[in-house]
Amino acid sequence: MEPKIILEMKHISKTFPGVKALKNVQFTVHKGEVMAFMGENGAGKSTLIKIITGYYHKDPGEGIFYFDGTEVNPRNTEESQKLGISTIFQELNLSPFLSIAENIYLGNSPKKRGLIDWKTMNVNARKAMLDLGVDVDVTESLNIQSTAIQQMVSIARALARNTKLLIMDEATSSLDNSEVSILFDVVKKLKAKGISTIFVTHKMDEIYRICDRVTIFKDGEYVTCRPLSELPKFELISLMIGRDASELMNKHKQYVPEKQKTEIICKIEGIEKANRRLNGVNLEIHKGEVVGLAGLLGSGRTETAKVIFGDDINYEGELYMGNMAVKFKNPRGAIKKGCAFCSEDRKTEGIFPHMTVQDNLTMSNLGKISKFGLINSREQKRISKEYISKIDIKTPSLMAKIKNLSGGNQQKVILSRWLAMNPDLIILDEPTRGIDVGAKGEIENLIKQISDSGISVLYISSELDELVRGCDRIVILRDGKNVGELIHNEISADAIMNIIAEENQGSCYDK
Amino acid sequence: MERKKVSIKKDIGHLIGTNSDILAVLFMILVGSIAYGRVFLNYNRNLINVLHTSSMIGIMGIGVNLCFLIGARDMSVGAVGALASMVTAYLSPYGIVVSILGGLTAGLLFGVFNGVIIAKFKVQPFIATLGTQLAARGTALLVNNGLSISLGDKIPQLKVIGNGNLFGKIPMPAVIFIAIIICFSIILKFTGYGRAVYAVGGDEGSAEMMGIHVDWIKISVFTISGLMAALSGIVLCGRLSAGQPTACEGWEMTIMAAIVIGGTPVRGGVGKIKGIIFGSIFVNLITNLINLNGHLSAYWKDIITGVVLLVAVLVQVYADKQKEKIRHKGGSLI
Amino acid sequence: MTNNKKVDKIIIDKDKMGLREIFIEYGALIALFGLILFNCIFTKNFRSLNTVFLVIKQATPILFMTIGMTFVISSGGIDISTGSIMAFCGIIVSIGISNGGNFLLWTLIALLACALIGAFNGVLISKVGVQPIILSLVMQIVIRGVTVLMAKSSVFTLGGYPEVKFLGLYRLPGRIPIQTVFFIAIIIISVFVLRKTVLGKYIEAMGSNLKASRLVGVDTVILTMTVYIISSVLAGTCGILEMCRNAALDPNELGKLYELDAIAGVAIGGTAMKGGKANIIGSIAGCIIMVLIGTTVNMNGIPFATANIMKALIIIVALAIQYEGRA
Repeated sequence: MEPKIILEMKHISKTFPGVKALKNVQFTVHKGEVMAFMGENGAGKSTLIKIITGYYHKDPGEGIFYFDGTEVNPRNTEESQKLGISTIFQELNLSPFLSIAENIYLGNSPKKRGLIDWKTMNVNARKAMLDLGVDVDVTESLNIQSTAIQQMVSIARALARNTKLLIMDEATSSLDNSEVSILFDVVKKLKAKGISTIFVTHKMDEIYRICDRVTIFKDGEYVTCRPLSELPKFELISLMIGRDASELMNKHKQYVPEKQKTEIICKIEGIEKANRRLNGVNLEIHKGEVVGLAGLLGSGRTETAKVIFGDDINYEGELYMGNMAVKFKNPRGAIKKGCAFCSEDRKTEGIFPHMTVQDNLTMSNLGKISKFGLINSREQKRISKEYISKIDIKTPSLMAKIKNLSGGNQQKVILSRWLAMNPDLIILDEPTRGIDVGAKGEIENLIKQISDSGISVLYISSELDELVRGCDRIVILRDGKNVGELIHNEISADAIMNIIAEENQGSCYDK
Repeated sequence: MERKKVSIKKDIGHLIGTNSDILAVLFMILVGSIAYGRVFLNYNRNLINVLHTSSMIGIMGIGVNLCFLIGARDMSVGAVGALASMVTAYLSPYGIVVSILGGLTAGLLFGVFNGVIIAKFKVQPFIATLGTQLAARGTALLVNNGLSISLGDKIPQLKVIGNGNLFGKIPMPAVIFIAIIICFSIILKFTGYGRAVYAVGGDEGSAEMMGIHVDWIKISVFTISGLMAALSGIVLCGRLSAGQPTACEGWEMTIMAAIVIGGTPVRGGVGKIKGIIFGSIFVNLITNLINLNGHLSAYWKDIITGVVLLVAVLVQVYADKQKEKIRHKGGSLI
Repeated sequence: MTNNKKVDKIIIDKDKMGLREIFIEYGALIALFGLILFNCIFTKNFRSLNTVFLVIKQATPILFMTIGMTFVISSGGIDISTGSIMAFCGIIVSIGISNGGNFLLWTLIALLACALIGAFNGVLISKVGVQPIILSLVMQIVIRGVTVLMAKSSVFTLGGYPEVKFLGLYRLPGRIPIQTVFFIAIIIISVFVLRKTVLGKYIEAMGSNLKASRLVGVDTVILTMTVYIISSVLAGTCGILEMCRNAALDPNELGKLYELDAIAGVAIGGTAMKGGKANIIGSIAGCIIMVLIGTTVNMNGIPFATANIMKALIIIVALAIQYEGRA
C-alpha cells in the first residue's frame, strides 16, 4: 500500500545574493514516519527547514511544495504553524521565565469569561506532560528544568496546536542518554498518532534508533533518501561527507617521525565540563606538529579549543603550556603564552563589523606593532598587504569595512589576523568554512608553511580530506571523549570514518 | 521525573526575596518610630502625606515598571508628567474634562513617539527616552515661558483629586493608584496581552517565534508609560493647584528604586506590578525621615535613595549569578 | 604570485560609501556648515571674530565632556553622571582654594577623585555586570548630593583667585581667549588617541563586538575602567573650565543637563550609539552645533526652551538615521 505523504517538495532552490544555498533539491516525508535529515555544515539543511517553516521563501517560479495534499507557500512562521508544522530547536524558543503550562499554551490559553483560566490551563498542561511520560510541576518556571524536560514542553506546545509535522532541529545535542531515550519514547507515541517527525541531527547512533528513512544533503544538493534498514553506517557517512572525485583525496601528508619527538608545547588532561559537553579529553601537541581534531558536530572539539585558549574557565582538569601548568583567566593570558585561536563563528566571535579590513587583520597584533601605544601604521599596512596577497583576500581597499566583504573573504581576514601573530600554537576551528576550493589550497599551503617553521597547529575540521592532507596526527572525539588517534600512514579518510562510526563507547586507540 | 529539594535556608531566602518590599517598609517604620516617635507615627499629620506622595510617584512608576518588565528604561516620565501638569493647568479654563484629556493626550503622544522610535527604529530605550525627556521638558517650559500656571479657582474637582482624602482618611491619589494597580495586575496575569509582555521581557527572540508581535508590545508599553506619567502629572497639578514646568525633576531614579525594591528585576521578564506599592512607600519614607530631621539637607535623600537602588541592583545581579552557577552544575539548562 | 601587482593598485583608495553612510560620517560637519551659513545670513552681528571667540569660550568645556562621552559610547556604554561629576570636581577645587590651598594641587586632587569614580564605575559595569544606564543614573544623583553637601549648599564666588581669572578670562595676543588653547589641544589629543593608538582601536573593537574583542586579547575589565576614567576626568576638567569661565560655582546647578548636550553631540556626530565606530570629528562638530543652537536662539530672541526641543529632535532624527534595518 502506498504510504500517505505529508510533505512533498521537489525542484526547490534557494538563492541568496552571491550564493545558491539550495540547488534543485527534493524532500518527501510520509505520514507517521520519522525522517532523519543529515548533512555536514553548509549542506543546506537549515535553509530547507526555514523554507518549510516559512522563515524563508523558496525561489519563485520553481519547484513544488505540498503539505498534506495541498500546495502551500507559507509567508511567515505563523502561517506554517497554522498549517500544522512545528519546530523544536536546540536553543529552545520558549520563554524562560514563564511556567511550563504557560509555555505550552501561550497564545492559545484556555479562557473563562475573557480572562485566562489558569486552573484549567495547569490541569491541561499536567495532562499533556503526563501523556508524554513526564511527571512535573507545570507551575514551575521553564528555565529551572532540565533540557530534556524543556524539549518535552516544546513538543507539548506543538501538540497543543494540532501539529501534523514536527521538526526537531538538533534537539538532542544537550541531552544525555537517558534523556534521549525519553525523547524517543515520545517520538514513538507521536508516530502512533500519525504525526510525522523530521529529525535533523549529527548523531548517527540516534537516527538508527528512532528513524525510518534518512535524507542526505551535501553542498546544497540532494544526495539520496534511503530506508535506514538498508543503509549501513559506513555508507551513510561516506554519502554525507562525499567522496570528491578529486585526486587530492588520496594525498597524504609526508610522514616526518621527528615531529613526535620534539618538545610538547601544549597538553591537556582529563578535561571535563559540568554541562557534559566534555567528558575527559586528553591531548598533546608537539612543537611544529599539525594535530587534527576530528569528530562530528557536537563531539566537543570547539569546546576543547576554548578551554585551551582561556575563553572557557569553567572546567575540571589540567592544562599545560610547555612544562608549566596554567589556568588562564581570559584569552589575553593564552595569547601572551603564544596561543592563537581562529573561531568557527566569525560573525559573533571574529569580525568587528564596522572596522576596516586593516584593523580587523592587525587587531591581535596591535601590541607588537606599536610603540608606547602609538600604532605603527606603516607596519599595519605592510602586514595587511602581505596577507592580502598571500591568501588572495578580495577587498576593494585596506580601508573597506569588513562587513562589506563576502563571507569567505571575511574568513580569510580573520585567519590572517591569527597567522600574523606568529604564535607558538594556533588553533584553527573550521578555517576553510565558506572559502572556495581554489582558496582552500592556498590556505592549506599556508598552514604547511607555518608548521614547517615551527608553529604548532591544532586543526579542527569537518572536512576529512583536509585533515588527511594536512595533519601529522589526528585525534578523534565523540561525545566529549577521545575515541581514537591516527598517526602517519594510519591516516586516511576511511580510517577516521571508521572510528567515528564505531559502536563502542569505550576508548579504542589504533596505534 | 525530578523533584527539587529545597533546604530551609533557601526557603527563608526565598521568603525574604519575594517580600523584600514589605520588609523594607516595616524596617523604615521601625526606624521612624524609634527616631521620631509620635511625630512620625501621627497618621493625620505625617503618614498620610507619605501616602500622598507615594501614590503620585507610584502612578508614574506603574508605567516605568511595565517598561522594566520588557527590560527597558523610560527616562522621560518626569518631564512628561511636568508637561501634562502644564497642559492641564493651561486648559483649566475649559473645564475639568478638557484639561484632563489634554494632559493625557500629551502623555499619549510622547508615549507613542517613544514606542515607535524604540520598536521600529531600534534606538536604544534609554537614549531615545533621554531625547524625549529633553523635548518634553522644553515643551513644558514653552507653555508659559518658563513660569508656572496657577489653577486659581478653576477646576476645583482636580484639587479634590490631588489633595482630597476619601472618608477623610485615604488620600485620593492612593485610591487612584490602587485602582490602577488592580487593573494592571489583572491585565498582566489574566490576559494574553499581559503574558505577551512577560514573554517579550523574558526573551524577545523566543517571543517572536511564539507568534507575539514584539513591536506592538513595545509600542503599547511605552504608550502606557507616557499615559501614566501624564496622569501622575495631572494629579500633581491638583495637589499643587498649579502646573509647574520644573515638576517631577529627578523622579526617575526614585521611581527606579521603588520598582527594584518592589521586586521587579532590571533585566525584565518577571515581576509583580503590586511590588511598587511598598517600594514606593519605602522610598518616600526615606524622604520623610530626612525631612522630619530638619537638620539634614534634602540632598541626603538623593544620596541614600541612590545607594539603596545600587545595592538592590547589586543584590539582584548577585542572585542571578548564583542561579547561573546552579544551572551549570546540574547540567539542566541552556 | 601574480596577485601582487593587482593588490598594490587597488589598496590606495578610501572605501566607497553609500549615501546613508556618507550622511552618518559627514552629516555633522554638513549640518554645522549649514547652521553657520544660516546664521551668517540671518543673524545680526554673527559675522564677527567676536562670535567665533564667544563660541569657543562656550564650547570648550562642553567639548571636553562630549569627547569623553564619545569614548564611553563608542566602547558600548553610557555615562549620564558627567554633569554631576563636573560640579563635584569643581567643588573640590573651590573648597581647596577657598581655604588657601594651591590651585594646581587641588586640581590634581579633584581630577584624581574623578578618576576614582570612573574606575569604580568601570569595575561595577564590566566585572559585576551592572547596567551602565542604571549605574550612571544613580551616580548622577548621588554625586550631585555629595557635591552640594560638601559645599554646604553655598555658591562659591571665585573671581578673586588669580588662576581662576587666568583660566577664565585671559586673552592671548589678538584677543584670543585662553580657552582656545584647551580647545585645540583636546581636539588634537582625542583625534590622535582614537585614530592612532592601540587604546583607540581597542575601544572601538570592544564596542563593535565585545566577545571578539575578548578573544583577541583585550582585557575588557581594564579597558572599561579606562574608558570611564577618561569620561570622568574629562568631565571634571569641563567642570573646572566652566567654573573658571563663570568665576563662580553653584553646586546645585552646575552641569545640570550638560550630559544630554554631550550625548546629543555624539549622536549627531555619527558615533554608533550601541558601540563601535567612533566619529570624533563628528562629535566635535556636533558639540559646536549644540552650542551654536543655543547662540542662534539667544541672538534671535527665541525662547530658550525651543533650543531644547530642537536639540531633542535632532538627537532622535540622528539616531533614527543610524537605523540599519533588520540585522
